[in-house]
Amino acid sequence: MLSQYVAAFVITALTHVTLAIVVYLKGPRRLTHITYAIYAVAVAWWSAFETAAIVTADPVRALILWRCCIGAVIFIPIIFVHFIITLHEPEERATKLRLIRTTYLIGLGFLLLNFTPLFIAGAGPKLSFKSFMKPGLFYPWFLTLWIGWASYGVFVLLPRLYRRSVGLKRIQLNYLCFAWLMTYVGGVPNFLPLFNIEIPVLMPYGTFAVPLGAMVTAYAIARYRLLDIYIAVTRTTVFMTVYAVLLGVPLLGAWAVQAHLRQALGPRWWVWLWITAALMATAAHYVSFFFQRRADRRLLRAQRRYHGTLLQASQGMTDVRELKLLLNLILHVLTKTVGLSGASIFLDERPQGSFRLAAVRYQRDAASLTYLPADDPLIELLKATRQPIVCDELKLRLDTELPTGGSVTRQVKVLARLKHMDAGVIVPTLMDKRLIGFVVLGDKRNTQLFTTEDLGVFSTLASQAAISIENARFYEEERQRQASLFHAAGLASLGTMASSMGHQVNNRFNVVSVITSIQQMKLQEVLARQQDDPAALRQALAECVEQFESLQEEALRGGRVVSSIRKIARPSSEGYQTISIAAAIQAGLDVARYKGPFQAVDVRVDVPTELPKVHGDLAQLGECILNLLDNAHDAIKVKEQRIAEGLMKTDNGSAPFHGVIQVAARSIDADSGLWPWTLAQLTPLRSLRAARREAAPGGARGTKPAAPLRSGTEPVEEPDLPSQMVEVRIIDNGMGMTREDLDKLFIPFYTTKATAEKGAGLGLYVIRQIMEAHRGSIRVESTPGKGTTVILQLPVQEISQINSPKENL
Amino acid sequence: MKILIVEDEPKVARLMAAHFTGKGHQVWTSETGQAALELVSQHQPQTILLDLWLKGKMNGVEVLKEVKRTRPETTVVVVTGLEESSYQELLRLGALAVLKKPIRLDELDQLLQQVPEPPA
Repeated sequence: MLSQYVAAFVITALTHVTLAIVVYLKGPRRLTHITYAIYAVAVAWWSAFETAAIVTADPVRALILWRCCIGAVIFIPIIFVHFIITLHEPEERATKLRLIRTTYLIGLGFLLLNFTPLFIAGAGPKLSFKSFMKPGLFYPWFLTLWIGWASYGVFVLLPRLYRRSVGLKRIQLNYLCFAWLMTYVGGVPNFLPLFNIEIPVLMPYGTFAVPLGAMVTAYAIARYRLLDIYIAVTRTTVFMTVYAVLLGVPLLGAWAVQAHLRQALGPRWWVWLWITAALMATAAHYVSFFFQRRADRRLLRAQRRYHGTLLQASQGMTDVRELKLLLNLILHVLTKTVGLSGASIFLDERPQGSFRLAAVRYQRDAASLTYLPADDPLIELLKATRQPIVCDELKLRLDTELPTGGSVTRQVKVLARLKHMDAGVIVPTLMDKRLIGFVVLGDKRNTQLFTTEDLGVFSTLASQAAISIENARFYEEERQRQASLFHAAGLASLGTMASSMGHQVNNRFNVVSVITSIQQMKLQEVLARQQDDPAALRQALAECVEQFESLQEEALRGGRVVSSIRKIARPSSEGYQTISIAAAIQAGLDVARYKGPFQAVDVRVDVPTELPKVHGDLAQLGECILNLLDNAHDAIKVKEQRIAEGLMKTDNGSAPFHGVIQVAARSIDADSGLWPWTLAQLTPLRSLRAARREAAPGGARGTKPAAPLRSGTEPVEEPDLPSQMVEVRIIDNGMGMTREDLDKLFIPFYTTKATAEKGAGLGLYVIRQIMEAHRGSIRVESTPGKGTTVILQLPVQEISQINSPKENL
Repeated sequence: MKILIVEDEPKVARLMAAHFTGKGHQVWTSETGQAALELVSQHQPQTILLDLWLKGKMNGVEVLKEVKRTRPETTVVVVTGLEESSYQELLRLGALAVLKKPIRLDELDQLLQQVPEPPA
């Protein structure tokens, strides 16, 4: 019997020393942890000295040991009550301060008494103990107070605290109540031998409840993320049972039969005992692990199920490229599988580093907080820890932590944020350790707590989501970039184009209508006169004839607008043949001169005759040259006019302005890198295509131009393109263009010219269409006020294209 | 009567100006909204023939709003080829009538006869 007491006390002492250290190290600055550690030391002290005392037969030594033992016992309920008070809210803690001080003072008084016979009169054998203390005069008083304090703690303070608690705190108190009840039941009966009472089963083994309770308590304090008490107790029980069976039973058995063992194994029998114990302990570790997993699997079946769903869902997310859709999917999966009251996602805004609400589901007051600046305490905390923040935990920590100024106020602010967002947990979304957003989760609808396992799964989900979000964002940006490119290229402005076109045509019809109605009125007036007035009639008719010319011109212009619209459809390559670019330039120049001589404009042509041939339509290319010459001429005329009006100065000060158009052509090597531009940069449309080409498997092929997109049925394979190009430059020293004009240059119907004098603003758009049909390109460089250079490039015709079979090169 | 023609097609502006001048009116023309507003404050025309599609930054609707704000007594006849703004919207903004291009000048003449002469 004595040996079982000894075992119980030794285990109690050892576990409490260990727990004191563990709990203290987990939170060296936290009041709760410190108080608990002191409490555990006191218990360890008590059990250690009681162990020594009950096996000591010598009354004098036993008395000293008993006095040491009781010295600690005095303080156990005091520290215990103190510990429970540390769990209270800070303000309530303050009101209980006097009570704590008083109890410590009383305890100190008892401690002094402890060393007089008034408290412990002596020690002598009792029941199965070799010695037990004999109470002095004051001891019953002490005992009453002791039981009273302990009961106050267990039956008054703790339940009151429990009733008021919510969330994590309540779970924590679940543990504590359970633990303290065990400790109480296990500890208090140790006083019973005083009254010669020994309750059979409870007496030696009941003490084991003390270390068990202490372990549960330690778990409750030291762990932030608590499991359900049911699970925790199951785990602890599994652990204890396995060790008790595997380690305790053989050891106790060996102890019982030690005489036989000594006989069988010799005086060193205990060496064998320790070896066996070590082996058993090792085995126990694995066995308990095995049982724990089995127990967990049963207990956490539901949780495991949604963990699986979440992880599966997170893998499927990578395919979603629409950001909004992706975010909603994440929230949907989370709220539905876990059963959350709500959830929302915040994403960072670059480059400010602030965070903005991107998607929300069911969150009650989420709309009230939609933006967090980069220096918000919550953001800073997420960035610093990169760990999920659990609202309850944070609150618990705040309640029990010793105030240390800055960090506490920050945490209070964070807590306020969490409450504002209705958040149970905030899970950071990290991409390469960088915070790109965070997921706000409401509480579980079944009011269960988030477990460590939950948080692990959420973190995995969040990091998986981070990749998907980044991807989706990339696609989003890419889409927008492309959309703006299309817009710049005028391709998205079909509506604008249609109305612009309508305006152009309508204006022609309007002129026709106005002229007609004017002439009609005039003729009617003459005809309506009573007397014939041949002179007036003749004049009216002459005016009509004159106006008919105007009408004719308007009709033709309307027709031209319509035909230029027709040309927007890609020019066909039907009439392509081997031509020289010089011929095309000549054709353009001829028509330009025929249409009307370039008054006072110097046209300098520099076209070598031995240029390589190109494959194309002479008429189309000639039209391009003509249009560009026309534009150059207009730019010079406008500049002349501005200078004449005194709005502009000439380039070289006093000398009169002299308009010059240069037309130069030469052959260039597109691969030589002699030219600072690449074809991919030539026009917005071109660069878009280049981007598409680069994105396609196989990648870009140097600076070679892309094959034009062709409509029609023939399958187009991009042929090996010649690296040699023919380049035509049309350079004028006219008005030049602003950046704004340049950007809009290729937008159909955009024009800087007066519509009455000029065409429909389709020129450059059509030219680009023609150039691209020829696998060539057009680029425009301009300096406002100084002039414009238009650069056309056309691929040189391959020899193989001339002598049809492809063999040489 | 003082008439301001706001029209981006110079030929039409010219023809209309000649027509109205021939009828004894005083006529100004403008291709942009800004110039039109300047002419309005300078000469206070009773009637404005306003195209909605103009050169420059301002469009006809903006000109209409501004004219009606500063000189609400001015008669504005909108002449447009496109349904950029709804008919009702333009009338609500204070246009006397909305004519669709192509227009007939005799119709316009009839319409302008409704414009009250200013008190002397």
